Amino acid sequence: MRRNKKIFRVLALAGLVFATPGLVLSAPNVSAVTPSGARNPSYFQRAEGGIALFARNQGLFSLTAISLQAPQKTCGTVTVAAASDLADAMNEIVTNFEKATGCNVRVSVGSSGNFLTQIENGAPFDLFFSADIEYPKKLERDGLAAPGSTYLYAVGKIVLWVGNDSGLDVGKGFGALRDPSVRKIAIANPLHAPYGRAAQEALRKSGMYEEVKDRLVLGENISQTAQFVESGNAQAGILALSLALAPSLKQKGRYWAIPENLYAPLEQGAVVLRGAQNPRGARLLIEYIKSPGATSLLERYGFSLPRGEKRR
Amino acid sequence: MSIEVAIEKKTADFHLAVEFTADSIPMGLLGPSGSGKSMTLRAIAGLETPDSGRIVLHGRVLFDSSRRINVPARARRVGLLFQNYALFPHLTVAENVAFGLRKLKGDDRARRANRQLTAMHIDHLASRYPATLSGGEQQRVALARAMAVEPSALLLDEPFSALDTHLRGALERQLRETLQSYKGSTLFVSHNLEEAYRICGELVVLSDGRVAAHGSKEEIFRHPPTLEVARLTGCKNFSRSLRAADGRVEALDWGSSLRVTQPFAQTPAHVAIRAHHVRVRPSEIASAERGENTFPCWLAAITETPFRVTLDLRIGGPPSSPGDFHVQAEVFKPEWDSFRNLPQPWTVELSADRLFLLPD
Amino acid sequence: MNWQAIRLSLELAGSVAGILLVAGLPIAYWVTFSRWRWKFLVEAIVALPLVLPPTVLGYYILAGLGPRNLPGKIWQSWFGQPLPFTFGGLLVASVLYSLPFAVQPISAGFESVDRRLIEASWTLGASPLATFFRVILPLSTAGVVTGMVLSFAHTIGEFGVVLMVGGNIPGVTRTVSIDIYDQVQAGNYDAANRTALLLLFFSFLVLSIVYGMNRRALSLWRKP
Repeated sequence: MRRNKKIFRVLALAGLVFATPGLVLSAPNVSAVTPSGARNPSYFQRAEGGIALFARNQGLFSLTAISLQAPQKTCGTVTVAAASDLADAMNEIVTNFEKATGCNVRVSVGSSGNFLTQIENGAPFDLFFSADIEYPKKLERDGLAAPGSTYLYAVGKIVLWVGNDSGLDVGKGFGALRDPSVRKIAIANPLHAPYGRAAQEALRKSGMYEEVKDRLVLGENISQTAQFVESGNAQAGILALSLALAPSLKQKGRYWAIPENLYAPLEQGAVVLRGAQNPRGARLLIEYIKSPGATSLLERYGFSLPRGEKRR
Repeated sequence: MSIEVAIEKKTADFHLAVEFTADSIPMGLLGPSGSGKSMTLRAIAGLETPDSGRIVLHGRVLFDSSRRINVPARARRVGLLFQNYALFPHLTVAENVAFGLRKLKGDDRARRANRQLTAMHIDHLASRYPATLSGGEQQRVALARAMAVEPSALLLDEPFSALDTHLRGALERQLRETLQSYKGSTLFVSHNLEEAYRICGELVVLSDGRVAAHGSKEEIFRHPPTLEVARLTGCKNFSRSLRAADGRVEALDWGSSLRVTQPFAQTPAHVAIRAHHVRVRPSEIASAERGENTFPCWLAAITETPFRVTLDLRIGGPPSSPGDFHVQAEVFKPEWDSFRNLPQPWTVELSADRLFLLPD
Repeated sequence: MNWQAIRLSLELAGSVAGILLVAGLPIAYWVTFSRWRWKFLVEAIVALPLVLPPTVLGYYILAGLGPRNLPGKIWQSWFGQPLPFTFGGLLVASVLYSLPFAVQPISAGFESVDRRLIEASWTLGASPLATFFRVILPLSTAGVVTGMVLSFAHTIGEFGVVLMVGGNIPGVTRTVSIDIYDQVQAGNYDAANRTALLLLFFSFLVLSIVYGMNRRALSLWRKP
């Protein structure tokens, strides 16, 4: 019995030793101090966002937060779930927001459908920027967001994209996909990614779907879709315009804007979640999205903006 | 029909350097554990490669380091018998025995295998599996298996040590029967002297990786060339010695002067006698009747085995402790009973023709 | 119930187990019996997939073997299309990823064969190849079977690599693990649950049968 106690103590100590770096790293200041000016929501941060929230919910975080916070922070940390098509745009917006307000924002980027499921199962985000306004509305109906609080922040667009080394003439539109060199066409998974649904819809409406359906490869989210084409494994892809205009892809290929009558508009909605730990900070961010600075940034990324303030 | 071995092999803590020749008379390889007996056998079988040397079997060169010849084990036609039999557990006895006969056609194979099974008296076990057999039966199967391929040499690596004592006799008889008709060379490794003596005609005694003695068994036992060989062949009584006047030998540790029949030119370093050659008799013999090399003795300690006793005797005076003795005598129990209760001192005789002189 | 995905997963796992049987035996043999002083390096390489997350392999196949890089270009010239998004791609990835799950149990099985049996076989005239088939292999069936079962099971459960390089093509790369993931993401919990339960039950059945059969083999030839 005594030996078991000793082993238990050793294991507990080892556990503490290994857990401490995790806790320390998930403290807000550490992640804010990234060397480059633009923050890149790396996988690490996306994962750490989860850990940080978890730790915070356990009450441990508050202690470390108090000890590690710089003196003037009054806003705290805002955790955001953002659709993949917002990846680069959100980066810029958040950097500006942080400078303006002194808040700290942790962004997790992924497929909207993925986030919906997670939030429905209790994932503790403050704010959800979905690529499909239906998802926040569903959260409202399920009582996970205040009714009528969804804000239509942008309307997305899809484009047909090929890399620079492709010989295709994207000006031909979908007709270019008939070229025999196009063996694989990447779209996001229509089952749960809004941009994938729009891509499928556009292909159907243009009558191209039957011709291309055997050559489709599905990305889990629009980012992975972009990566499939960018790496050359797919010869063409239907991507979000915001990604095509993003610094990471801009110089690497060319695109054809898919006519908007071929697909239902990609209304993108944002909502503050009921379970938010920092509702004040979240509302600040929503207000900031409506500001001229943010809206012109969104336009630069190819998003259309709602006329006036649309609610519901 | 002979095998010539002259090899050297060095490992981290051992240096083997042996050289000997064996013909169709079974040859025993004796020596303490770690003296290189197994390594020598394995080198001959091709399971170890010596650093240098030659191995020639029936005129076939199996290994020659200077000519870079190293015939692989499977082509050497050397049969090896292991201490733990090494029977294939997933094959029947018959399949085990026929294992090396793949090259023969079905009929020939069956015939040869059956011949071996009959010769070893195990035909009734043909379809059994090794795990169901006794130790003795397993060793017979191993022998049958080795003999079935008609090897040019048969190497036995302590084949009986894993057997119960009462089974060894039967196996030994079987082996001797088999060896009688076997034309190849036989090497028998053992650390049991009596066994080796019974089965073999010639002996090689290894010590620390080197050949300490090599010759007929009688010669080696009667006239061991060195102190160590004498010890390895079971001699227990040694005394430092000096040359004395008139051809006698002064045994310093025994405090006696002895006459020996073995001629010697230089001063022998030790004189020795085997325990069963030491004769002990009750003391009724008056000093006048005492022959040469006969002395009064006292008993220091006694060790009993089932049929014999070993007496630790002190010559010349009573012992001060059980460890204070000069020679050990081995006496059969009936004889022992005849004088054990008679008063001491008794008489001990170290016959002149049983003493042997050792140069080292 | 997505029978196509289930069939695909079974095909993939079966092919991987089959390939690793043929490829794993010589590798395991070399690992067990070679006396090369740098053998430990090869052992480390074989064991890599145990330690690395599947995303590493996925990355290398996607980017490293993609058409932009030399190895990918070579591959493409041989096979006409890049490795990702093909069943062949999943096959290659799964074989690499399950390699240690096959090699290590097989090697352990070989190791358990008494060396003296191998030596006896040699002295009786059998070549190393004959010795392998007549002595070593029959006595290490337990290890071989374990290796095959583990590679099969591990491939059924393969998710990370398939997610990265599969492209989710129905009937080609949409394995059952991806299908379940998609159903969950789309909120179709019932469908996901049905498929998951079926997979759970089937795997348990297969494993029980194999381990039950193996037990007999294990007990027969345990070393004394």
